[in-house]
Amino acid sequence: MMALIRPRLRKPLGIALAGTVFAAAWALRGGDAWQLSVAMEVTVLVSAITTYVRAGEDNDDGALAGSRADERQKMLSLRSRALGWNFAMVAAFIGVTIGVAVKATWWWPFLVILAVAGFGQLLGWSTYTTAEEGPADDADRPRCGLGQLVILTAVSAAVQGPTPRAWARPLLAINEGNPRGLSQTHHARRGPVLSDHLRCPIPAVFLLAPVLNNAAHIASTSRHRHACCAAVSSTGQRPGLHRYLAVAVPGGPAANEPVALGFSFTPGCSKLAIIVIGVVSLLGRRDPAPETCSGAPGTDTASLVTRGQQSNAVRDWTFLLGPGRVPGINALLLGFYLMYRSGPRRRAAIPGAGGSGPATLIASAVAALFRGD
Amino acid sequence: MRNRVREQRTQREMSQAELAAALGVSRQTVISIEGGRYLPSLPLAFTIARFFGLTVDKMFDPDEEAGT
Repeated sequence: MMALIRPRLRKPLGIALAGTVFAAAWALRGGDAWQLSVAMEVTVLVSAITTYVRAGEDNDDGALAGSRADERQKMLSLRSRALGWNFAMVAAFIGVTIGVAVKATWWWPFLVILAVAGFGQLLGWSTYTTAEEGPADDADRPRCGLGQLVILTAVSAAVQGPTPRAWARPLLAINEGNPRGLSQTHHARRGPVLSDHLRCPIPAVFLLAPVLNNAAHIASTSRHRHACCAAVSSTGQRPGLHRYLAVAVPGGPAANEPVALGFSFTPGCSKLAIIVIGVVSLLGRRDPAPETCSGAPGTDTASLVTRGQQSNAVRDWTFLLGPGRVPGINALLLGFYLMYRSGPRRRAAIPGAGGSGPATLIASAVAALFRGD
Repeated sequence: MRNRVREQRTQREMSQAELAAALGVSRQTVISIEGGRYLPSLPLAFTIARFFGLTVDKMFDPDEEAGT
């Protein structure tokens, strides 16, 4: 498709197309927005024509605008984008920090920007480092970057909220996904394993929140559908556990594979069994007889809410005992111990950091169980 | 890293634009390479060396600073 368009026309056409779509979106708002839409369209067309004129100039900017950049000019463009990305991240971080500090309601878009950028970087790492490196002769030599831990921790915290558990997640992901350290043999599978950890909370956040926190929702007639979706979201996280096994088991003479398998399966099965109880408690929202539903004769909203809160409490405890406790134990045994045995390059730092994650998670889960609220 | 791009180009009485066209890069990139401000990729380094009939290590000397 792009090959059919002259290089000099590609960017101007892209600008015109994207700008026109955006202007049309304003026009669809109705009312006086059409005036803004027309002004926007005019601006877009002027910008597209300017880009076309710039593309004819004999300089770096012209080469980039005309889609005929050579390797140096592409590198310049890449560096410029990286600088822009850094600025955006700093601005988003400042925005979310100020928003949280002043108790504003507008802080979450900044968090979304940070999270999306973090995912993008994670995807980039997973795509480019794996694709460009390929397997090495020393495939069983562990490799890990502390920078990755920092970034993943920040992204995880951004997605899941600034709880101790969120901070522990990336460490667990790295440990569980790479019990012998991040060897290049397993490098290719690291991205999907980590993305499991970071992706799972997103649907759960949106689906579970109204089910768990909203009394009006508990009493509403549409709760069944939501509860089912939330339960599916919760159980949908579980295939990730078995991907850890796929990563943990093959190859690797440094680790005792039967032990690794045992460590993985035993807590994994325990976790799944506990989760099933929590999911059943959510689905138990369907238990109330039709006559107790809101609007039906004999409805007692207060008792319905109480029953919903009870099922919430069961669900919370099972998820604290399952996803909260088992990964910690799993990572301590499988990740921390085996990672230490495998002799990573930063023997003190990596297993140490890996050990701190499970410990934090277990402490967080235990504290949450007995906090009394 | 010092290179002989400018020296070889002037010997052949070529302009920077002509060399750029021959190498398939921009004139600005030739200027940057000649000034030692940009180190070309390995494929481009080979292209430059072959264009002038030299080897890469004759064309680019890692032991000398650019401009010396």
